[in-house]
Amino acid sequence: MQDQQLIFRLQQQDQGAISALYDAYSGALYGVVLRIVQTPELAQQVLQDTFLKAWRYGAQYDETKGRLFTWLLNIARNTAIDATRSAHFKNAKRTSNLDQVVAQAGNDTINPDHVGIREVVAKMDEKYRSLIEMIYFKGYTQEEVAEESGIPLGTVKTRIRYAINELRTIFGDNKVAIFFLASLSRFI
Amino acid sequence: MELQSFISSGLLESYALGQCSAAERQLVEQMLTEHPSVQIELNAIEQALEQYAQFQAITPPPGLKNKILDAIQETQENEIEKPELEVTMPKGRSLNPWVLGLCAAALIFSAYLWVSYQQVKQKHQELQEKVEQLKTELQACGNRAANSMQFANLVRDPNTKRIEILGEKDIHFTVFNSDAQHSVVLDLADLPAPKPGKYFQFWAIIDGKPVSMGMISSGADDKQQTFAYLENVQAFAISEEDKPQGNATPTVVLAVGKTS
Repeated sequence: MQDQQLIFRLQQQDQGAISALYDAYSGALYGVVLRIVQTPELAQQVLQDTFLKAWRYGAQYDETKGRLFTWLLNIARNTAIDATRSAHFKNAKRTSNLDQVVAQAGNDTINPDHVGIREVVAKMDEKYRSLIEMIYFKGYTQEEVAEESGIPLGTVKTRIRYAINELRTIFGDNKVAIFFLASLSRFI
Repeated sequence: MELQSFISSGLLESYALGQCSAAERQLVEQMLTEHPSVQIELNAIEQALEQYAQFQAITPPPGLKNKILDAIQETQENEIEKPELEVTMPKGRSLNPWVLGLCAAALIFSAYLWVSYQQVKQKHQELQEKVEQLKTELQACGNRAANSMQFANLVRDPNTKRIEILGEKDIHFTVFNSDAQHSVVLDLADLPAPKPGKYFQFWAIIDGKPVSMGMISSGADDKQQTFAYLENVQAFAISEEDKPQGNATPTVVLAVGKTS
């Protein structure tokens, strides 16, 4: 269940709600935004705009239609994509090396709690991981992915479903077990 | 069965990724309100993606949070201040020359309208008077026509007595007396005007005594004059009088005409 009190405060345009949302989600959102706009300065501007929009349009959030993070991520992704269309971004490329960007931002900022999961995720088939990467993190449409990769749209859709099922397995009910196993494996 | 195929269609995944068309989104949102199991499924999908995003999280620079909260604070203050600004604005403002010009134009136009109104009003009054005058004339005309008709009827009636009265000083006129129609009409076409300061009075002789029928109006356009009918008149007479309203007894009798 989501935090009902937080949702209520967001809908009332309470600044404290934005503070709480920032604490909970800024890292995840910043990771996504950075992948799209690729420069920390622009990414920070996009993140600021995202929270300003969240504060301004908080009353429009409808929890029956999805999770709070999904709503925030949609705002962040759209804001980031709009930013890439502005003059500042003209020369940069969306397809540049992600690892380079992440390295610039500093590898030490990655959540150390996820180290075990990282190994599990790393074992995910590349074709599924890149699909999630392109669509969920970078905001490509399924059609664009199909066109760019030369894979039929139907196949793209099937793979997305499969990829998400993989993630559900990794992060789902047995998440703790996997995390435990992964952590354990480090000591062995 | 249908629910299961909806859940496994991939539509919920598309929805969670923000990839749906408007129609698809509507369908998903309808299913969400109708089926709790769809809600649970979507929540699981979103949660997995959310955790994956958290897994990929990169902590933003430490100063960013305060910067964002300050920006919100500033926006909020600006939005509160704005209306006050608008309220205080009009107080000290000098008159806009356009407004001034517009007022002057309105004033001139009003004056023009007033003058026009007065002219029209006067014209209306004149026309009203003209109409009244015409009405009176028409009525007179109608009366004359009616009198002429009546006179014609009287003349045509074989029972009407026609008494021609001739006398001194060129006195000559005709009395049409109808016992049937109770009508007495004088044809005064040949009667000359009385002398200045003199007036003609018309008399009926009943039982040998003169009874005044009234004054004969000289200058009647139609040359006909109607008098009140009296019974058993033996003769009619005309006298010359000094007063415009006549006398109780004839002063100078000019002519007499017997009825039979």
